[in-house]
Amino acid sequence: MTAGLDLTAASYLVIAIGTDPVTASVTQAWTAEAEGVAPTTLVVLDSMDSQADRDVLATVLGQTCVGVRCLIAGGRYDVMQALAFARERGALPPELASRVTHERDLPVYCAHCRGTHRVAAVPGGEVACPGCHRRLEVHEHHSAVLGSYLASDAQARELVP
Amino acid sequence: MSVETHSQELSPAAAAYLSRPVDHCATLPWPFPDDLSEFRYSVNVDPAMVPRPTAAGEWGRTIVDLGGAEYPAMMADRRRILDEDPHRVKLRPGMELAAWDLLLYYFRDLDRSYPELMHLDENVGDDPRRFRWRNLLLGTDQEFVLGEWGSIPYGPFEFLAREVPDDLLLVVERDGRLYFDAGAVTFAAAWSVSFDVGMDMYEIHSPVPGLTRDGITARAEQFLMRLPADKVYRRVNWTLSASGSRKLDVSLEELPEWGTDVPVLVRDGRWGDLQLRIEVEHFIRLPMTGAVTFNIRTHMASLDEIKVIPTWARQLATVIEELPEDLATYKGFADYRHEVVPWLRS
Amino acid sequence: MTATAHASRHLHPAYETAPRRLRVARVVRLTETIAHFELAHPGGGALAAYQPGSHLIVTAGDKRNAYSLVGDGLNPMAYGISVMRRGDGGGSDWLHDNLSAGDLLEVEGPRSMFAPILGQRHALLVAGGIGVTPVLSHARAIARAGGTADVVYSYRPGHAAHREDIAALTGAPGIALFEATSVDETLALLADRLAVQPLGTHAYACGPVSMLDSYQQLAAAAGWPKARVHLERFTAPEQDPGSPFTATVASTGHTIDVASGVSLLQSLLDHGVPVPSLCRQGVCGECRIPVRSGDIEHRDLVLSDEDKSRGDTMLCCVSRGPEGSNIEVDL
Repeated sequence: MTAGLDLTAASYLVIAIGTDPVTASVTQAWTAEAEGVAPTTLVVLDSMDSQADRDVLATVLGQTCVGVRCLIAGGRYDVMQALAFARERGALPPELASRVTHERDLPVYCAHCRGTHRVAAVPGGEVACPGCHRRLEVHEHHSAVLGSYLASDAQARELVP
Repeated sequence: MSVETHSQELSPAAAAYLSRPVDHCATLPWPFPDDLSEFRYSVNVDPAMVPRPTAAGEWGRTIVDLGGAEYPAMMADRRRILDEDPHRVKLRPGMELAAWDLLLYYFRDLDRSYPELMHLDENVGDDPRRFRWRNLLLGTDQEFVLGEWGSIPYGPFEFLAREVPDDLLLVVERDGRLYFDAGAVTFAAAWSVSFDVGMDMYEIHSPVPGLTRDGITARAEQFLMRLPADKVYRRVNWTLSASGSRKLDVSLEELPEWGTDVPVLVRDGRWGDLQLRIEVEHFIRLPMTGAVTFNIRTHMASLDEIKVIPTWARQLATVIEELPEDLATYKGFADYRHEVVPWLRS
Repeated sequence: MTATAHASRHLHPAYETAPRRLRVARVVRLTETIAHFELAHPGGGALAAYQPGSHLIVTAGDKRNAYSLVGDGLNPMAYGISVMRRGDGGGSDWLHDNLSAGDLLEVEGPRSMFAPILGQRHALLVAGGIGVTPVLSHARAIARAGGTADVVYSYRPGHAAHREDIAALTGAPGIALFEATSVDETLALLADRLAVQPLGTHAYACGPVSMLDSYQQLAAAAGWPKARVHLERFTAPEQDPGSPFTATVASTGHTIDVASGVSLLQSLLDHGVPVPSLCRQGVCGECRIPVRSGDIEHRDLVLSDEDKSRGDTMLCCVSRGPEGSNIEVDL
């Protein structure tokens, strides 16, 4: 990532999400490097599931101007959700960079209850839906806009003898 | 909110239209050219509004195929789904004008394609933004103001979805890529409109084996990005339906409802109840926004019905038999095609 | 096959964009050198709607010129174009000298080459001189939809066509006009406005080449990604004559020599291969042709980087092959 810091930026927004120590060290390194190039803001959030944290991120993004580059680090769920959140507020792919610091969780969108959930699963695997309790198959199909993987009923095609 | 309707007597033309006997095969858009014996995905587009004769009749004279006497039932089914599930309609921010663009195009086209059944009055009260829409088959009578979202119940996108049997999909270009940014879809074939809206063409098609690898996604994207403003094109796609009846809603959302339909037919050997599902897509560049339609009208015919037309049964058997394993798996019939093929030939 | 092509056309006349004659409803003199022409359907009724920033191709005497439409594009009953007299005996002068209310004028289009991004959260609109026309179209569409925009208008004092039309839009909340009347003022104003646009803004500029070059440089310096920086050029920079190469026409197998200083377009036309064309400067995209093989030196301002790298299409009015090479064109 350090090699990839976009030096054409007019400002940087570094976003650290979660308590993983790797997230802290990655975002500290980014901040140190970015500050040498352009004005840099560091935002530290606990979780993209927290409404208070989402409000903070919305406020910060609402105050940034074109020219910014957002650098986001955290677990897979939080990073995918934060990228989608930033896109929803106007950021384009060239304005976003990210680092997933652990893959202990995954955002899945359940086609049946229509919720986006934080689950311990991998694309192609199965998991119980925290929303509707169905056994879900996680498709290897991902939406950048929703920041999640698609999941659907894993047992719906099975005939019960 | 409810659409303003008049429970008036049907006009003679509307009554005549709805009383014609239904013959699925006579108007079925048979998806294979006469000489085709093996199917592969391709960008197989043709000019639209060209009548195409088939072994059983003809299809394709108009952009919208209302479906004859089945139209009211199909629209009732669609309106029920839209009432029960608001997630079937999804627009990305900025797509509002494209929804108006689409509504106006379809109403103008219907007014001319079905002059005795559908009417669009323009320039109402000498105001070029004011229109009146009447659909004599469903009893719709609605005035609206172009560009004013609240002037039409449900907004223009869903309102149109409640008037035509086609699933509505709009794609727009940004920075050299096409994005699926609006959908009003009740009859998806095992996909989810609420999940897919907002994706680019590559994200959407990643589950189809070989489509992107073989350059077909790129060619389809190029075709749509270069679609001229003055012509309408169409494409026909097909599969064996995941439903064991004429039910059109086999969306991923409803998987628990239809998941065992085909396994039951396979277990019981009811091959004639399997349904050939045919999707006719229309591509139109809309002038106010440059958005391009990818609207899909779904047709179904049971294998029993198809078997009545021997050339169709023979051709379908050959196509199914010959399909590569990954495509047969994707289309969902890899497990039972070795039984369907001899049945179609028997 | 002719019947087929005809059958796939739109049923309703408000989607007609082929060459046709419209009636001049009104002529209004905006400045000493700029006149505004309003065109309507001779039989009444709606004209083809268009995306903001679209242009109309007008047959002006023996010339065909492109002029930006100034309306918002929503179901128009009239088209408005504003034309600057250049004094060079060209098509614009012809329109000034020959056209009055009631006359019929042949037009084609509208065509869109400078459209807004539908999901934009805000717009920065930049106009230089007569480049105000497509900018006015954008501004009107944004105002109608309740959107927000900063408009930067750079003009010579006394030559501010449509200034009042833009000022009238600033009555709506969220539309602001910033004016500059010298090069230095324009550059300072651009740098100021580029620095303060909220995330999600797209910028659009039309004007003289020198202003557009500055606009691009200032946007890049302010950290704007290219995907947000849109522009429309009236004229292209001068091109060098290029090297000689050959082109093979796929349908006939004939190979044509293309000399230095002669375009591939002209060479194809000279050999009886019909190719539509308009600006002949690599700006309008009209002469885009499919290519089967061969290296292409792309010199146009239309194709995206992705189009260019794919190598299956070129604008034959300006783009060429390297010295001594062969390009097989799919014609």
